Amino acid sequence: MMGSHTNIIIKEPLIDPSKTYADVGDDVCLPLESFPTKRWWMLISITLSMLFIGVVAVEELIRRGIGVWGLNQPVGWAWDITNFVFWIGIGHAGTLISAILYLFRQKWRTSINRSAEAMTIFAVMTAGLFPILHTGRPWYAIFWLFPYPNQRQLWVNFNSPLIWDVFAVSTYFTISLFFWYIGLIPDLASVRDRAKNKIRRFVYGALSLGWSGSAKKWNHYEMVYMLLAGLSTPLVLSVHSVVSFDFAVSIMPGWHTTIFPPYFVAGAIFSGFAMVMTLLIIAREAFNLKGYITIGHLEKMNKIMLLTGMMVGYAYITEFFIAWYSGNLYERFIFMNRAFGPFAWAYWTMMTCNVIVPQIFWFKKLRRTIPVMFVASVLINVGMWFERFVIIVTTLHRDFLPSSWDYYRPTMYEVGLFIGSFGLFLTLFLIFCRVMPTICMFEVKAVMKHRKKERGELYA
Amino acid sequence: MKPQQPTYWGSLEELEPPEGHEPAHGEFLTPPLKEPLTSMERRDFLKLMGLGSFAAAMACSRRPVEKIIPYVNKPEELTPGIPLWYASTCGECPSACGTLVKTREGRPIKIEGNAEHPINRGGLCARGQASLLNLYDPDRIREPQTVSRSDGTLTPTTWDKIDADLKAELAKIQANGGKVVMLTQSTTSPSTLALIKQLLSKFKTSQHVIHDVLVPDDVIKAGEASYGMPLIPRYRFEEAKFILSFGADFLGTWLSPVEFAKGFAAARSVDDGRLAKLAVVESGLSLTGQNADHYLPVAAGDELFVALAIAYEIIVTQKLSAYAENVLITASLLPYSVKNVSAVTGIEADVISKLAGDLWINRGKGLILGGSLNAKYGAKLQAVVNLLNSALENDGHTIDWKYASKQTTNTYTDLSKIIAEMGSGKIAAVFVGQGNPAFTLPPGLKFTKALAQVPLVVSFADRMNETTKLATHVLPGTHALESWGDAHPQEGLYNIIQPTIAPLYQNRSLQDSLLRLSGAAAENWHAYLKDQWRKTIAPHTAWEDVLRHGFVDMASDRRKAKGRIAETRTFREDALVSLPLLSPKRELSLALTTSIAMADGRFINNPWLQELPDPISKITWDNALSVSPQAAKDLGVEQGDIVSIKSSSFEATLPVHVQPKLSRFTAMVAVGYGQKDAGKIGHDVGQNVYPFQRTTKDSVEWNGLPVKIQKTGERVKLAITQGHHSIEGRNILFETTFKEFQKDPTSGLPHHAPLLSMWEGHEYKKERWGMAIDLNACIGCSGCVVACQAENNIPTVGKEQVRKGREMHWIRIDRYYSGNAENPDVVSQPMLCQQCENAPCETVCPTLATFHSDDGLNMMTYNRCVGTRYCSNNCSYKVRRFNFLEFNKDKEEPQALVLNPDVTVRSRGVMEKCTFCVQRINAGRDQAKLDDKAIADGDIKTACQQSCPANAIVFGNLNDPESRVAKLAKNGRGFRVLDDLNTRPAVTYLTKVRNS
Repeated sequence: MMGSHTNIIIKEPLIDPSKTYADVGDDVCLPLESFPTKRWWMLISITLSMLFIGVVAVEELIRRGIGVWGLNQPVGWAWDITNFVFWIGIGHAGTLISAILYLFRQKWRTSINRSAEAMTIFAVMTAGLFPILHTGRPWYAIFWLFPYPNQRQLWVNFNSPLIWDVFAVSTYFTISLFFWYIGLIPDLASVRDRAKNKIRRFVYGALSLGWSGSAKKWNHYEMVYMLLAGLSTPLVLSVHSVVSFDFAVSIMPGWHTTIFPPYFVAGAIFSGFAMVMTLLIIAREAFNLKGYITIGHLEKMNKIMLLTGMMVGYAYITEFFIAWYSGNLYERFIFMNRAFGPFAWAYWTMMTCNVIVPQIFWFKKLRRTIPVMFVASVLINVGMWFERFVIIVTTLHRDFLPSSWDYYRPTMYEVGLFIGSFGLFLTLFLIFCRVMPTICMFEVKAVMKHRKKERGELYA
Repeated sequence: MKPQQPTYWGSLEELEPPEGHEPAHGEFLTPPLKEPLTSMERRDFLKLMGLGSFAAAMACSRRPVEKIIPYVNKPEELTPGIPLWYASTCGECPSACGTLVKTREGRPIKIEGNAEHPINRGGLCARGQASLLNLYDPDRIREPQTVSRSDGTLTPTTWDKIDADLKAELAKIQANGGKVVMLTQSTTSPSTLALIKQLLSKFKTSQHVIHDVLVPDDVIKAGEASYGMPLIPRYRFEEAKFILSFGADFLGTWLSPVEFAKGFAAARSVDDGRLAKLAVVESGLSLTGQNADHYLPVAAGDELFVALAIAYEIIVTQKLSAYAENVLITASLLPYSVKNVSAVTGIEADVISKLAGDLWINRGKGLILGGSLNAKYGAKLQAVVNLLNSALENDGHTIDWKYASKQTTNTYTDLSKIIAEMGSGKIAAVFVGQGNPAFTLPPGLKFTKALAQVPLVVSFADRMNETTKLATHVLPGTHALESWGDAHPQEGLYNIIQPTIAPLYQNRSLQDSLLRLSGAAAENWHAYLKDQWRKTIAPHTAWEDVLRHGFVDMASDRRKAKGRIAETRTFREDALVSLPLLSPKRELSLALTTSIAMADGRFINNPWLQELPDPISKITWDNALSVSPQAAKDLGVEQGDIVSIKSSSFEATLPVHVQPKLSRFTAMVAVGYGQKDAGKIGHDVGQNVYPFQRTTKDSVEWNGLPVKIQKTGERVKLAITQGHHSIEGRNILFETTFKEFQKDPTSGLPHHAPLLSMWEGHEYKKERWGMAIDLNACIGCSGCVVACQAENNIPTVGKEQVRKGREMHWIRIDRYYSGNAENPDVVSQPMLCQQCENAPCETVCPTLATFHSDDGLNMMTYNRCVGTRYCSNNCSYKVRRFNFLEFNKDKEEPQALVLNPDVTVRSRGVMEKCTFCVQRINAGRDQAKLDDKAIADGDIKTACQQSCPANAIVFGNLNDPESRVAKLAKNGRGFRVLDDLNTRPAVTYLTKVRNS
């Protein structure tokens, strides 16, 4: 039944073949249309507690100052910017899946693109907190980092990579949000049409912007979606390139390297996929979506992680080689210090998680085993967090003048904010799972092998 | 006179209209700045006004509006915004450096060295500059007190009451013929001494006893034994070609460090072709030792044997000098042959012979100095030093006995005698000046117990301490900035101390109190002092001139003279009798030392000095037990381990600091810490180690103390500002030897092709400010750090924040070691914002808070800074400082008065850094405009440059080819730190040259 005789490679079905079109609507909309389960309440109470920890940490931060963190004279950035880059990186998978894979007509993306995009939005929102909160005076930073006309005729410094960051991230966020929302409209209309009470009908009716499903609307929709996919594609590459400029255009050894943009982009996709993986494994369990997010999907993502993981590993080795080959004293020192200095533990954690762990995906059996890939995806996220930590802290804590060298230890407020960032992200994601269709229903239906007798149900 | 208005010098001016030109007059007495808590009243007024306007306009609130109220009657000479300077004298240690005190709107805000003054010639040490903060110390005693002997509680009283009380008591003593003792620190003030004499003369028996930890009594004792002159000579470092110190820390804490540092810098001005060699033989590492060209760490007491061996080599072996034929001397020296001493001390015979040879070659132009404070065999060592100086004919050239120092202290024998008298109840009354003898005196003297036997103890200290607590009456004295005074640092040189502010509280100067108690004829201390000066001290100098210059030098020709000034004195052989025997046992022993910041502990409540990284250990806010790397290994301890130190009578627990260069036989710890009643800042900082002082028959010993050191198993993180001491082969600093330098001034520097830049760079049309720092001159004394702190309102952050690496100093002294780990070479490198032309900080700031000015400064706009810290991350010199917390908020009244109104006080979340004292640049520019001329080279001096006792820092316009800084930038020794980064710093460093 799968594949015609013209196909040489027998493809695995993208969706559980036993599912009907009606099943798609029912299964995906179930969480929206039923009272939250006990499991959901449990999850959200955990994430809300995490968020609360973050709120307390931020309150203390703003009331007392950056000094509540463990930063010091040489180490001006640590967990704050690590978290920023980490979350921005997480946000990369969504756009990659929805835009680039869309343009390449990768149909397997359909089951995962919605939640991946949601993740992007929430990750970028979470990431956006850090550049504001890491400043000494966030109440000013929130305005002064934007070039707005003012009577004092003060302008921002367009030479500063931090300003580039502001533009890159805000553009990325705007485009991603639109892209996600446009993609949601047909499904929101489905939810509206299924709605059994007035309020829901009104809310989803308003959100679906009067979508009627006419051919003309579909035509416009496809056009807009493709254009936005086209717009998003360069952003996938540019955002993390610009983020990497924060480091690459500085003069600090270990930061000042031309390899950073591609290295950061690969790392971002790597970590983004790992995060999507972690969340999907939980979501398909929690919301009973195993028929739509199949082992086949997960395997494909594991393959991408294997690829990007090796790209990242290659970058690590290249950095080392260039540090030696350049003959630059400071550069050589920094890399030796990374691997064998006081932060060697962080470096080797990163190497193990990012380079060694993904190698298990060479084996098909492991690629298709849920517990293995769950653990691997978590480890990869740990590794990618440490990658940013290693880059930032090992460079700063021992830079040019040995007289300034120092060590860095986080305080509970940094850890609290980190936990809070997960709290924010996961809370938003859980709410999303309750109020929006987590799987793109109409796209899934389009890739289903539909049997003739059920055809009537297609528009049910 | 009203009861609450005691005899301030100022309030009597009101009664006796001043004659002629009185700069200080009027400033404090005219409304609204009447006495004494002037600012408080204005503030209260403002607060009430603010409350009123708040009540009137409750609807919305904005930042409180504060109004500046102009003077109703503006004092003559005082223009708001324009500083007034007074020539005065630093009152903190007996070296009596001349100062210029900067006041703004009636409050002193900075103390600088007086460039005209023959002692310090413009420089001023960290302690002298920081003494300003003692004035605004909120923990001072603010009114007279009576003390209950049973529980030590203080009861405030009024001056009238306490005066009447004391007069009655003293009358009784007078009638009974009781003995009265005045116990002070070393004071050279002729008028005060006259006054003390006058008071004491009223009693049948009386004595003035001086106890000053900082004055080396060994020099006085040995002076008497060797030449019959019980005094401290004047040392002429600028004349020396070879300096050998046996532990005397003349650059740090010994006698008159600023004077000596100036002389030392002159003797080592390599660009003039001079580089005096400094050799140091010592058991405890001092700042002087750190600067030595040739350093020989020895065990405590071995300094004497090395000195004897040198004398033996010259006098006995080589049969040189006038003493070669002196049988008595050669006999005394006989047991100390180079071979014997070498075998015992571990110092190679060649090294001793070489030293002796060098000394002989440089005879007449050498300078040999004695031991550290209270060194083991100190008096004997000083006697041998005197012998050497006489034998080598250095005496009379580099040592001047005629215009000698007036610093003095009573010897241990005198002290123990008088304390014994106190203990046996023979003393009716003791007057204690400033100082804390109950804390500093060795426990063997049982001073505390003895003082309790004295029925009347009057303390003049203005702060609570171990001694004040033992008094019966406290008559709080004034700070040197609050009262008149004078000083007589050297023969023929008299200083004046001018008040620059009315006493902040109800305090009365020691002298006013003495006058009151003695019932002298003079109306007040000011009148008395003026009278003294007119009649006896400087009858031929106009009082106004004295005030204008701050001093009168009656022997300025002699002090400025070059070359030999006297015949060499003949050494008396009997000074060498009963020399100690060479004993072969060498083991780890404890040594006490005075630290650069705390001195004897008198600065314990001074946050600037508490936070000043010790020039040797870089530790702040603590005293630690320093041991050499080898000793640490032997003891099985590491940096930060807490150890217990046990002597036969005392035990203390201290953290370990591993100190390279320190002798492996010495465990060294600074005294002065661990005061229990010091005030909020100094309370319980560090551990008191004074009780380790050992008393022998006729002396106090501070080193060679036998102790047991044991690990306790606990650990602590020291608040240390520099944890790494190698330059890692980077382009940070360079050094060369004198021989190489004479061949090629650029020796030691790497030569590379000029670096290219992608852009044409900044255009500096008028000035481009730059600096040159001579690493060869810098001794690492850290005076500049305090100067900068005072000038630029730099907050102190406290021990916990220093531990976290958040100290705020804009200039720091980086200290690097090179060579062997046990006895490395040391270079001190002042590091401040390099004001780069291609500044990495400027390009990365997102809000343009830091940017380049037309005259080459990296400007910092605090208002615009949001605190991303990107600039600091990208600074290759890590000189930017971030306000991690609100470091300025918890200021207690009246601490805020010390702030320089020309410099913004930064709030939290803002980056700051060295500005090259931009406020001084602007003041200089304004002045030049007013005078309608160009800014001349040297008109503008940065705070660090001004205070430097070694003249290591030169600031000026790099665009003016004739300026000193421009010439130094082109000097053969010039290099820029990390110039391979092409940041193009405006600061040129000059290579360190060693005379090895």
